Amino acid sequence: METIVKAEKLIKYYGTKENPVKAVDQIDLEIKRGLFTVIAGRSGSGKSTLLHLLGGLDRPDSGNVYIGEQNIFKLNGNDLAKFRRRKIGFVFQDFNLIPSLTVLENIILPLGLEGKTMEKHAAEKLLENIGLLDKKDMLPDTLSGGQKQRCAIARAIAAKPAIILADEPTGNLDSQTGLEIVTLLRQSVKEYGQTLVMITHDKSIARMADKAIVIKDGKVVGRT
Amino acid sequence: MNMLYRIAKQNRIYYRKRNLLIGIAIFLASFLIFFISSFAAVFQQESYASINAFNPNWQGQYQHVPTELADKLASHPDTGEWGLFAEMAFTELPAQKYVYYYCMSDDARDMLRLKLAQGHMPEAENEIALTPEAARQLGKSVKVGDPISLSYQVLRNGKADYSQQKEFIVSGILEDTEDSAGQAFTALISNKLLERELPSGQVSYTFLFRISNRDISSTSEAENIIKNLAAEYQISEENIRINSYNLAANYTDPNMILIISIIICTVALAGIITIYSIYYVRIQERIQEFGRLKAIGMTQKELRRIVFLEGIESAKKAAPLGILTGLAAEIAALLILHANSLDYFQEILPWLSIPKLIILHIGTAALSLGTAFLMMYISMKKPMRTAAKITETEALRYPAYQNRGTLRKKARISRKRIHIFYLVRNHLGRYKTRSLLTILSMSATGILAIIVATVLSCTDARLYADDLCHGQYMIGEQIEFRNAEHPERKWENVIQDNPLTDDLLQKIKEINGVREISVFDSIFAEIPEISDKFEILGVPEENKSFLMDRITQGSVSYEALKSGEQVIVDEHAAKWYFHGSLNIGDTITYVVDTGNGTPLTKKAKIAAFGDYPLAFPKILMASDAFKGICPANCHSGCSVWGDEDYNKETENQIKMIIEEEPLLQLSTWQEYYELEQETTRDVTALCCIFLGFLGGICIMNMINTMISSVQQRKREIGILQAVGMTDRQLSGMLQLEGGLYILGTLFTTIACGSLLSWPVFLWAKDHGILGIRKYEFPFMAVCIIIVILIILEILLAAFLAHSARKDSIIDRIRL
Ligand SMILES: Nc1ncnc2c1ncn2[C@@H]1O[C@H](COP(=O)(O)OP(=O)(O)OP(=O)(O)O)[C@@H](O)[C@H]1O
Ligand SMILES: [Mg+2]
Repeated sequence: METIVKAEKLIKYYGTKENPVKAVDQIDLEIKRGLFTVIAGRSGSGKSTLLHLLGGLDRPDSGNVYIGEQNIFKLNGNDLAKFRRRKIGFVFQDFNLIPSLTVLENIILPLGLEGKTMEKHAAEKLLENIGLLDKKDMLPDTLSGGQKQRCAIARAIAAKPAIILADEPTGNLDSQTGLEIVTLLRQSVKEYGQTLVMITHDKSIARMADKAIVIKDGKVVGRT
Repeated sequence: MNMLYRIAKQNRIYYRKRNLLIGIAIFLASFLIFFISSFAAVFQQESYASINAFNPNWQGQYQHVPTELADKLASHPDTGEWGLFAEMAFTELPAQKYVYYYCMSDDARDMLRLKLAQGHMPEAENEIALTPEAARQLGKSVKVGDPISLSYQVLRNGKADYSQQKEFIVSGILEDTEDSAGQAFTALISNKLLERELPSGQVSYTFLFRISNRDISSTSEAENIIKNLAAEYQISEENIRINSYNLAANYTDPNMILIISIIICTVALAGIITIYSIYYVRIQERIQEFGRLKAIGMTQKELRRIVFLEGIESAKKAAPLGILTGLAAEIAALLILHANSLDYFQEILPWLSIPKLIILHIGTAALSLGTAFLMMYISMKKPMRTAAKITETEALRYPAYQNRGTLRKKARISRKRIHIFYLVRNHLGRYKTRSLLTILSMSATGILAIIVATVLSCTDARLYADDLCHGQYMIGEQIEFRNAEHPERKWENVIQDNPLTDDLLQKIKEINGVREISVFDSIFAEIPEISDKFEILGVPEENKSFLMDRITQGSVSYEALKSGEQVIVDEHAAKWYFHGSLNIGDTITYVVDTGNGTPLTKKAKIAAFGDYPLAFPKILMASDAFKGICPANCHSGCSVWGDEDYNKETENQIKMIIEEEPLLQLSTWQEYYELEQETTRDVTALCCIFLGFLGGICIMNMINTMISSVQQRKREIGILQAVGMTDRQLSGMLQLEGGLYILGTLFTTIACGSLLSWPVFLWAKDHGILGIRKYEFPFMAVCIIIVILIILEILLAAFLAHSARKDSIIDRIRL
């Protein structure tokens, strides 16, 4: 199966030289196209740091990340940002919606930055899929946690990126809602042929994954 | 309380960056207030010292005082030191320069700062002492003991007698203090000569004195004493002279205090707006923190106290630092100013009171410290209240990490397309109060700048010169009535054979570079109740704008003036000679002697008053009416309009034409223009410096707004970047944001500035400040403001974009 994300000897340290926090320590990994991969591990093990590096949100101390053929850290800031908005969608634990934009505006924001917009019926279909059609003109503060996360997911998939990186998207939700969210993500991934990488502590969600990567102290300690 | 203090202190450390901004604002404000007020104070003390050291130090002067009255004045309790001098005679030199021969008491000489350089004062009848410049002007080079032959005209009862020659011996030479460009030069003669030339009844003295009373403090009190003393002895107002320089140097001028207070208030206001808006933003950000403190049992009063203590903590260091820096800047400024004039400084040093300077500095330091803390207190009042009112639940609703501005909670129609401009608009709308405060404080400086610029542009040297010189070159005649030596200067004699003939005028008109000439006619009239002659001026129709534009009271058309039944009267003449008893509609009676021996009595109604350049008090009428009174050639002046402001060649040609005629004199527009330009330049420089500093404070506000808008939105910007906003788009967004502030500022500045400058202009005009008469919009200043603002916004946006890029997206989202 084709590899879509590949990390080589990724290193990211925090703290001082004498007393470094090895958040990501010499990680090599490959993620296959179209699969659902989970990253698991104890709190503070370096999962978020790894995910951010894979998505090009942060730059490593050393090592490379390839997305498709592209070594993303070879890109300059502007090009990396453009590359990211076309290829990668992010979902965060605490939603990260812009409070002054409506649900729909939040969703089409990445497209807007590209100078594009969304066809009306496409937008309606997306809103319907996430169950927020009737809330499209509301501001995020008036939504429930689950609704906010669905909105964030819609934003991540609106530009139809090849990869979706999700950092504990269910962390702030009850388990029932959490499951709904994951189901929603998996549906859209299937529909658009995307690749999903998700960090989660939830065993039942981890079980739904095709692949799992376990991190401990910044190192990969297990794969399936 | 100790606990609160500790929390406040820890908070201050935690919010170091934001406190730094407040610190800078306080620092700048206290720096400015201290620097301006103490520099002004020292500068003033110094110029006072220099006035006391070098300038004449009489305070009041009464002219035309008979000897008996002088004795009475001298023994009056209000009179301190006093002196007397008499103007015995003069020598007329070319180009309207004169050497005056004074007989002076030693005290008067001291007060006028006439010091002997060599020799002794004249004692014998044939002795004379004079300034080197007077000798040079007379064309003589003299040493003590040299004989010198001079011709002079004695002044008898205000009339100049025939010229007479006298042999003198130079007994002394005065210090070389006179300027060769001046008009009057000094020679001193002995009392014996005065007594010989003028019988004691004919001598009129000038009485100079200083006020004895040490209790008075203000210049206006001093002026009143001088005026009241005059009134007590029936000395009329035109004979009083007041040495306002000396008064200002020794008493406080209420106007000066007013100006300094306005400056301080403006600076404080700018500071308050700045600090307030910084606090306003900050408290919003910390709602959750305050909520938590409240949840663990802190009272409203204690919360308020925490905010207050935090503020005081920032002011505590910044204000003294500002004052110290201000002191350093002041010393530096003084050193630079005096780098080349140490001698001068040494001479005025004895006149500077060091304890007074120290007290002044303590005063200004207390003032700036007080203002800084007051500023802090006023700008914290509302934030303190907000902090105290926060409820526990409110705190939980707001996430800790961001200030959300004012969000409409209701739904609204979503945009189909999101672009950068929309994001910016959306953001500014959310922070309306803060955006408005920023724009307001930025505009405050701009508005002030426009007002000042308007006043300055109205004092345009061009207008001033236009006012004094009608035409680029003005030819006038030397008219004198009381000079026995020159009876030909009496107007009734001039018009028998007027040198301003049509022939001569034609020649001038043909000079290359002369566009047009216009001729005024004059005749002199007696008015029964007035001792001085009144000039009746006939203004030709092509010059009616000269007549009409200067009307200040009443209105009349040129047509209506043609009959001669209505006239315009110069307002200064009306004020000086009639003391305001003339009104529009009154009839004025005058007697003219047209030279044929039979005086003509005329009556006319006053149709208007106006402001006309004054040599003689004037009644103005249309040329047609004038011809009706005097058909002879009464040309008294000719305005020459050139193609350019000034041309040396044209001036020379005019000079050549009038050279033959001793009575004709030439003045040029350029002379007046250059003179005024010099004064305006200094005032402009001072205003610019002040506005620059004030602008500095207001810019702090803009920087604060922009920085906090980036800081608070760190997370939001992080999200935007995470979903794909490029660095370039981010810079663009910030630039646009700044651009909107600038646009708002520009709009408010120009709109309010122009609106407000109008009443200020009217006020300045009414009070005769800087000779303002005509409104001019300060285009140049507006352009400069626009350019400065644009440069500022580009720099700021670049800086912000840089600082926004500095930490990684992750740091921002994590926040
Ligand atoms: N900006 C930072 N500065 C210093 N240390 C950091 C920073 N970001 C992360 N770390 C450290 O790196 C390590 C890994 O953090 P990371 O957020 O990746 O953990 P995580 O596995 O996502 O934990 P969690 O499951 O709790 O989210 C932690 O020890 C953390 O303290
Ligand atoms: Mg994490």
